[in-house]
Amino acid sequence: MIQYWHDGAIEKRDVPVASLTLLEFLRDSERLTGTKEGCASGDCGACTVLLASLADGLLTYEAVNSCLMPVGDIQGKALITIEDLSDAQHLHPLQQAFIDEHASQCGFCTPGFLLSALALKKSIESPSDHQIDEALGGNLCRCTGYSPIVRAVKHADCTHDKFAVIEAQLIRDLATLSPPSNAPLQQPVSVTELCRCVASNPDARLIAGGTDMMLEVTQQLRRYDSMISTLSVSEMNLLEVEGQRWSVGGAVSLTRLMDEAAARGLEPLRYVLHRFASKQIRNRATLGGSIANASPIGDLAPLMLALEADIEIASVDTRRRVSMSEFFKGYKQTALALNEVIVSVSFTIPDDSLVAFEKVSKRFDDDISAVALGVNMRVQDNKLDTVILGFGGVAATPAIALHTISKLTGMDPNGVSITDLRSWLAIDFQPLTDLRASAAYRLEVAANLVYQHIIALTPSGIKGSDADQTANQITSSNQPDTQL
Amino acid sequence: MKSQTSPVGLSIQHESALMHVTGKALYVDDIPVPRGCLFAALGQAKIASGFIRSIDLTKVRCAPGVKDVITFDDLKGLTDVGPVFPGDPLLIDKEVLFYGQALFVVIADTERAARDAVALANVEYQEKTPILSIDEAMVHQARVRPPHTMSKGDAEKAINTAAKQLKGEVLVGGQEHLYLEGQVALASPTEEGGVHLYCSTQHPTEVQTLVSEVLGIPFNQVVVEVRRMGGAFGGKETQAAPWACLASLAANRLGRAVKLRLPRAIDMSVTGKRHPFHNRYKVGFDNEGKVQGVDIAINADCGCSPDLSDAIVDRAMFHSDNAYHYPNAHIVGERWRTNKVSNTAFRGFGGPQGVIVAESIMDDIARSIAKDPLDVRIANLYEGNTTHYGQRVDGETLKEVITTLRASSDYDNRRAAIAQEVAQKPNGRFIKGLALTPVKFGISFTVKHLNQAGVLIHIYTDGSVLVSQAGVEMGQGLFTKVSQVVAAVLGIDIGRVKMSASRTDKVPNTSPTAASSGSDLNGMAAQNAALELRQRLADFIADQHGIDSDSILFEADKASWQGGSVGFSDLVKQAYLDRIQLSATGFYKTPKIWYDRHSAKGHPFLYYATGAACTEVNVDRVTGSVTIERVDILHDTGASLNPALDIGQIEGGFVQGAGWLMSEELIWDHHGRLQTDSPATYKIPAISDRPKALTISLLDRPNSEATVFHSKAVGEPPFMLATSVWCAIRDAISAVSGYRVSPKLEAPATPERVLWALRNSEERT
Repeated sequence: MIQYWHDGAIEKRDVPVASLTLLEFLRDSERLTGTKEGCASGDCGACTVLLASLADGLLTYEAVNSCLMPVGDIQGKALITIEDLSDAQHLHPLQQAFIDEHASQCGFCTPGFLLSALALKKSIESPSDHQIDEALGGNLCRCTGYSPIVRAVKHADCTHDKFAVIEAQLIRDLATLSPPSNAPLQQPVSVTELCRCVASNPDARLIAGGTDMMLEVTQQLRRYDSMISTLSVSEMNLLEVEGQRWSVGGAVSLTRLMDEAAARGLEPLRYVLHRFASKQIRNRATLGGSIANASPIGDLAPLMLALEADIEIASVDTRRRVSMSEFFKGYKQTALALNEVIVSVSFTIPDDSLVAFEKVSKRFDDDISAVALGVNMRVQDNKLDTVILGFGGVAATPAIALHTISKLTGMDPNGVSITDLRSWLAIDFQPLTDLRASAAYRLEVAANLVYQHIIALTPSGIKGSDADQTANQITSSNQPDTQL
Repeated sequence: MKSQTSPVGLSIQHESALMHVTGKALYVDDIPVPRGCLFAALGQAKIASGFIRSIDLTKVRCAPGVKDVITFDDLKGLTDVGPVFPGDPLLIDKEVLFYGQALFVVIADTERAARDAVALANVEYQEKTPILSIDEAMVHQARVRPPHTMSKGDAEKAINTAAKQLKGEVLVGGQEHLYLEGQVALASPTEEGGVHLYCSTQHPTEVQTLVSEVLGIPFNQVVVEVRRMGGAFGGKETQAAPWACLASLAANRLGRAVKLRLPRAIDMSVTGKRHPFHNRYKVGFDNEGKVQGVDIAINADCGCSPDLSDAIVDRAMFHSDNAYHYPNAHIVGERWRTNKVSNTAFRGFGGPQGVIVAESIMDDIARSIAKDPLDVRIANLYEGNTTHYGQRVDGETLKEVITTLRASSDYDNRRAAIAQEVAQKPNGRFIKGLALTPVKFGISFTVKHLNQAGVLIHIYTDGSVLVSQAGVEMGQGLFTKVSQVVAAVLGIDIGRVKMSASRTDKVPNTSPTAASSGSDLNGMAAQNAALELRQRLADFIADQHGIDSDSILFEADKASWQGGSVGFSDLVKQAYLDRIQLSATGFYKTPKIWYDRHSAKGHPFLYYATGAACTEVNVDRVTGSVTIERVDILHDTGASLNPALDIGQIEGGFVQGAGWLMSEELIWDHHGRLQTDSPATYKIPAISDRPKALTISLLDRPNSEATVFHSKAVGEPPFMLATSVWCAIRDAISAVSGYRVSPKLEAPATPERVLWALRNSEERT
């Protein structure tokens, strides 16, 4: 049995199978067909719905892909679907703005856009174009070319909308929701309980945000009768920053991490997260899940490698720490044993190094890297004395360019040539040619990007190059000369 | 007579906008299914070429919830659903033509049960080496249709005797439609063995006829109904039919409603795409860059069957001149057969792959004689000459559009600024590119008989109006425009007009909603029907009041004459009591058009839609990534029926075209399996890809042809405005060679292709 708030009422439902998605539940069981299935893989945003939840007494609205979310995860939350935006008399200001700006053509993507837009307007009243792009990057429209949608989102005034009016009541209602009972999606609240749960339910599937795991359900047609969620574990939701030391709980969402990075001006971390999938995915995905998933193209891992992060791992009776560089064992293989979970990931921002992140992909929004690069470099006395280069997309796992680093360390940055970088990186990596890029391109771009950061460290800044690097979106909105 | 309060020409909101934003718009998968509805799933071949050695479906049939399994042997009627020529078996008999081809269908209690059961099939294949590229098809001389040639003058002689010669090639990739709503059909059995179908299709009549033939029943037993689609773009012109046929077959066998909906990855693997082309050209030109003669080879990868490829390659050939006069031309179009899904209609219908050849030629000529490409373009514009297929082009609108846009986009100053920047910072990380390219797109189906449409209008006694027409709504705004036309003719408030779903039992024997023709054909038919009704009402008033019917004015929701008036509702009630027929059909067929394929000459287009775009891009020399910085568009929509909807088509078409040329890359592995079968791997433009600055203006000039309210078609032409993006990228790459090299750049111009083209340009300098 799950309990959630929807359209002014507290609802209770039985959930037959843990892996039932929220989208299937809405369309098939509840007959709420305003929420659309465009891809069932979290890539188009047509299925976007809003979840409102209480954290420290504050109401937050988050857009999620209902196609990738186990319905059990709406427990204790308020669900807002397209059917809830208007009432009999009034359209929501966003709906009216979409009509006024001709922002729908075929209309199939429209509900998803409206809900992503509503989540944005609930957190930022007057978003900039850039903020709109970031919030709507996970919603595809094939008809309009997007500009009318951006105009509609800008023009709508949502400050006194329906949800503002009922907010106090909603907060009271949410506080009354009880925890789940006999849910097929188990939601332990402590690390110990989580580990026990994992140990005693070997058939249950461990799930965090589920943004990758649920593809097994929607694309490979797997079915999980029972699942164990990490999201309610309080210790894994801690996000602590002390000085330069960050400790991020395994269940901290990427959105929360991104907000923290933005608030603290940690641009490379904010930027990697901006380029990481879409808002809907980041709202659900976790740092622990991303690392444990061990994707060779995971964007966070290269930066975490560059920052020499370490991972705290727990099982029922032990805790241990593993460095990022020791964590990945092979393609989709990690140092985690079957009964272990990632409690947190910690890293220290170096005082006087250049830290940066680069990502190259066919598309700026919501795409998988051809090459991802985390950089941590420092020059002392005209010599590179710290060089850590973490890569994604060039090997079976996220990996450090050990050979290149050994060559670069101790060198005068002025003496580094791009030809040398190419040959060194080719010793480090033998990337694949696949649908995203060829092996040759990956190596070429890897060398080019490293070179850009090295010349940024030279006293003359950027030799023979263009100092104005802000115009390009695809590779890096973080400036290569970001000094931390 | 256009009245003063006419809604024609106003930016009226999309007729479904309210339904869209409230989530109440029903798409086929949202319609409540009839009691006892079953669900179907496709079983697909796992090789691209070869034969089925054995197929064992025992476990599939025994799986939980399974009600029926259909294979080729169960087909009793038509087995080949090829729309024009045969070649598209509904289910595989023995031979496999492409990876993912439909082999069997499972019908079960739930969609999930059907999909689960599909996985239990045991199929053995005898695999052959598939043909996966145009080059391989050429080696095997594998064609789906014979080649076609269009020629004018003596191209070979003109090229050889010209002051200068060049040759080049353009490789352009295909494009997945990625309509947000996938293919879907819901078939319900009717009494007497017929079928009612809800289907997401651009061509209800073709679905009706194919379903009838597959079931072996008369056309009048099948009704196809389409209220709206969640996008189509050509992908539902022919390729919605197989799923409708299979759902109908199952419904017919089981006596229960059956829904067949293709999940995204299956949809992408089993439906055709825009054709990839590999075109080559030789051109002779004078010292000023004026073309003397061209020899163009158009080569399309049609996939495994003809589908619409004959007409698509013809349209590529018709448009391989784009806006430029070729005094002598020899153009051959080849339709190559590969072991890929059969490629099909997609916005532009071969036009874009022809236009890009002409624009490539202009750029190449300009580089070779160190001129601004825009000046070479202008030097070659039509000036009352005839095309290689014999149709005259006056060229004045083209010249006006380009000249106006050149000034309004500040082309020359920006060109100079870029040149200066390139000279000052030859090794800068970012390099800009600029291009201004025109579009001239022929309007009419090149298959003459398709240029017809019918409309049925009912006026009810409360004064409300229901319009049924041949065209279907896929987001383009056809229903809105037709309702504007009807309201304008009857002089009534547009709120009185409701558009009915398009149904084959209301308007029969319809053409597909395609070729940008929707408003031209249906708008005129609607105008004719509305005029008929208006005349009947006028005659009724004239009789009653003893006045001349021509003196009656229908506007502002009433009929007025010297000394009197009557509100529309009252008029309708009175007319009904006087037994005036308040329902009328309207019909329209496009005049003047003909094409003799034997001589490859004719007048295939009623008129041309024209426009131009000026695009500036920024290219990152470190990664090859490109952003679109600024786009200025001037487009000719005639006297626009609805400027907001027209601008929407222009803007959306441009971005879709930019996606085709930049990020949308289809990749098959060497087994012939589509690797980019999901929006995770196939990247259509997302929000950050839209131009950073975009200005769209309409050339508000009535169409000189007698089209509906002298408007012009707008669905496809703007797609080709995006050619300016590709030309601007080539311009930026050319900059690294001091504009001496015209770079070879395959489309889509992914970061990787751009980076290699930059390297190549640097090395050749």
